Amino acid sequence: MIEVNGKAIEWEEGMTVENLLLKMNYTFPKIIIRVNGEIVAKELWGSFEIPDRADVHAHHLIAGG
Amino acid sequence: MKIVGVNEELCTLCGACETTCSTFYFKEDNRLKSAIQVHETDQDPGNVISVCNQCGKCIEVCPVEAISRNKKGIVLINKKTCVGCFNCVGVCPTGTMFWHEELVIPFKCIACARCTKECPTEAIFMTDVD
Amino acid sequence: MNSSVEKMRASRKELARYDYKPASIERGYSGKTLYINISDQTIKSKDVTDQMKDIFIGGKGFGLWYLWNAVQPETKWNDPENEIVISSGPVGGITQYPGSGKSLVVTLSPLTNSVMDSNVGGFFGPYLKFSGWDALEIQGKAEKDIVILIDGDKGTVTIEEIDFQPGASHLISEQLTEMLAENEKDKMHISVVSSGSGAEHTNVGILNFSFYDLRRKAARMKQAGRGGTGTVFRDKKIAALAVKYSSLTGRSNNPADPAKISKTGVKITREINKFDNEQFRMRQIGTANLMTPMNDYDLLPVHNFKYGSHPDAVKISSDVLRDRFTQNMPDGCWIGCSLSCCKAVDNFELKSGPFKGEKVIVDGPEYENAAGLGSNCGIFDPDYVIEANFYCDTYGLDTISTGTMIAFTMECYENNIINKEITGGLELNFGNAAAAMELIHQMGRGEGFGLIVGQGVRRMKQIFAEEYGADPSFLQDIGMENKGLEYSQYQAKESLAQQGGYAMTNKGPQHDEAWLIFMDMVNNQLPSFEKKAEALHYFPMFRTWFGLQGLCKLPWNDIVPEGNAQTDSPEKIPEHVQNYVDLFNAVTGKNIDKEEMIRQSERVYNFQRIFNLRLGFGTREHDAAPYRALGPVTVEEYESRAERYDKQLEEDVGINPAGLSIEEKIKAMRKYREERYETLLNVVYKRRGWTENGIPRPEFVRELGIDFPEVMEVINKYI
Repeated sequence: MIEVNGKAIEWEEGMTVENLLLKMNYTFPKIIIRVNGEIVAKELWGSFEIPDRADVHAHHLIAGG
Repeated sequence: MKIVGVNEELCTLCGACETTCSTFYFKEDNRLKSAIQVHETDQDPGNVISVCNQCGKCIEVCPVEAISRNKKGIVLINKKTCVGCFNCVGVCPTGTMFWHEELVIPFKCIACARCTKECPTEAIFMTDVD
Repeated sequence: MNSSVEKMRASRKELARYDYKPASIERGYSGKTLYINISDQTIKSKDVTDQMKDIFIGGKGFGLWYLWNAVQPETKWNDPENEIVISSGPVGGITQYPGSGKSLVVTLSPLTNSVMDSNVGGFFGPYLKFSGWDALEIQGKAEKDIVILIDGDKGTVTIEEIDFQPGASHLISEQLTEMLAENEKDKMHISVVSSGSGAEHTNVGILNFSFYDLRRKAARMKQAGRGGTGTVFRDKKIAALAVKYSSLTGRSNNPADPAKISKTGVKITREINKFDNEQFRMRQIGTANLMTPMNDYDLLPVHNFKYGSHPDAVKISSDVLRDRFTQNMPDGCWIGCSLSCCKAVDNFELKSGPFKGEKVIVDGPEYENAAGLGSNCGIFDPDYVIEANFYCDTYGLDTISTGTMIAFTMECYENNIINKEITGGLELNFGNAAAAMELIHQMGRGEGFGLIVGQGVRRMKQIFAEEYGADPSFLQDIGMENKGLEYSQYQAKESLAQQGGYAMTNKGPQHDEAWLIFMDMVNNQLPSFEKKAEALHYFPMFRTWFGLQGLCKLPWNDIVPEGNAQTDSPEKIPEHVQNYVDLFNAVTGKNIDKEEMIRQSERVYNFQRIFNLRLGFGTREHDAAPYRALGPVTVEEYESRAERYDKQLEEDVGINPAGLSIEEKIKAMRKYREERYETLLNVVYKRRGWTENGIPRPEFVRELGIDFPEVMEVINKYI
């Protein structure tokens, strides 16, 4: 299991940030991804593999419309 | 149309072009008020000559239609119409729509050729483009 | 068109004239405001005091101050004493930074019967200021339709009768612009404020503020949309306002530090050029870029806020709307705005109504219009959304309120609360675009069922209960209004913070003050009550600030600078907050910091709360929310999120959902959520410096420096 924004989510071996975003349906154009406290740059989302038991923050950047 | 062409390998950063331009148009020898600016980089070719190539991208972003081409194809700012919003500065792909904090409106090369006559190495010259 | 403009020119009859020497602008202020009484045709100049600048700043602050002094506690929106005040703000009118042309309109609202404020783009506010007036106050009522013209070039203000056909705002904007312009280029120096026939027949009238588009050769319009400001305007028999000012420059505000303004402006314009296409695509799609994400995150209002998404929402997705907008046009609603988000559909052929067959420019749709008129009504047809947008604009109807009003009637219709006999034959099922369009035309014409719908959700609840025997508590649950104003188009149901963000507002549930759904629901950044309270203090105060200055808040966070992710509080966009501090100081020559910025807002915000109290509102009971805004009212709503709700019952409420009927589960969930909301009110009131009844505490009011005797008199009644 991993935690995504405080919620328990099932972990899959080899799941990348991109896979996770698809799974969560996180399609927003501006998201900051932190895995275990470290920012993962957007260029690496397709390759960076999330480890089991990771604490993931998908910080959507929107505070107004 | 005739625009200022550049051969950066020949530039020695002497600044004669900058002095010529800023003195003529703004009555001061101030490279930051020159519509052609040269500077050094640590990448090839070593020196960069920044001057408008009259691409015209600025024309379509101007909210007051202050920018247009004259009969010779040169892109000009109508100083009376310009409201100093700097949208053109922001959109310029070559960073050659210049601005200075003391000036209300931006400025650019209008291909007057004065600088090309002062360059000691012929690094800048007038050239014909379509 | 020319012959009607000729007719207009020939018919001009001057009722009053005021010649003046336009004050020079110093550090963002002309130092004068214009007072006009259209009952007796008084026109006079008033001074802006230092106290006004220090305490009220400008914009909404000036509007509230003037309105407070103009009305009594018993004054109604349609009494002559009610004023319409329009003001931009000290930073308004700069050309270098995006979003610098906003004005605030303040008046008493026919929907809420309390003080209303509405922000709007367009050229009017800045041109008004540069013509010599930091604000315009209009009091009284005219006997016949009048036009007020302010010529900042010549230094004249006139009240005139002019023969033109009111009723269609887009024509008024066009024709009055034509009448006042010497030539095509001159049209850009003119801005017209007008409304339409819908504002005469409904409580949701808007004010359209024009801005001339040189490339389209057309007067386009932005809207002061919320709260019925246009209804007040037409009730006063004002047909239009117009201002003309030809000498705009990048230094018109005579700022203290023009270099700083230019530097900051160039910086953000370069940022927009670099990042907008990969971020929110404001220049391509405007606010409609939110349509797709809101649906993806189950936050799009569907069927009167019952649901958050719909399989057909893809038909009015962000990209579908992008393909209808003309691209690569400088679409700023104030000159120089590089965020350029005011998109338009060009050459749109209307299929219904008085302009059927004509090809028009449609200003929009914005997100609110597509979500309100479209998905909230179950209509997923982009042509409908675009046409409804056009007619609401020209009739002068608030698209947000209209969307929520129609959605409400549709749910009532589907529940047999109203029927075809009552609706005059309109089959108001969700999704029936033809019926919805006809309803809009009825509101524009002032006939049929449109006359009832146009009174707003609060009145409809009363009418349906009293005249059609509807269950008032069900109507209360599904009628999405608070304080009398309709909710704007975001699903607050699962975000406790946003529930407060909507219902704890001064004016009613407009997302102007707070937009916390993502921070709360998706990012889970506000897990505790304390964090929610902090957010419901900071963001409403921060967002209020824009309305004091003449600024648009979209460039604050609809473009994000490099390095923002690494900051302590990325959702505040700290670099942009600093930009605004710098801009204010650079214009005014003052030296505020981020803390003082919030304090500026607190003064005006609390003054507005106390103004509400003075008018008989403003206490805790008025911050109550309809249950549809807090949780699932109906069986179908519960079932649409059953897994999530069952889990919440188990984990948060401590009730095992197994073996409970769905009605029992809804009831248990409701008790939990309603209690939670009350707790939220308690913590937020405390954080804001208010009592448990929502009254600003005297010591806090003194600290803010708004403890005028008449203010303390109001508070002391409640303490």
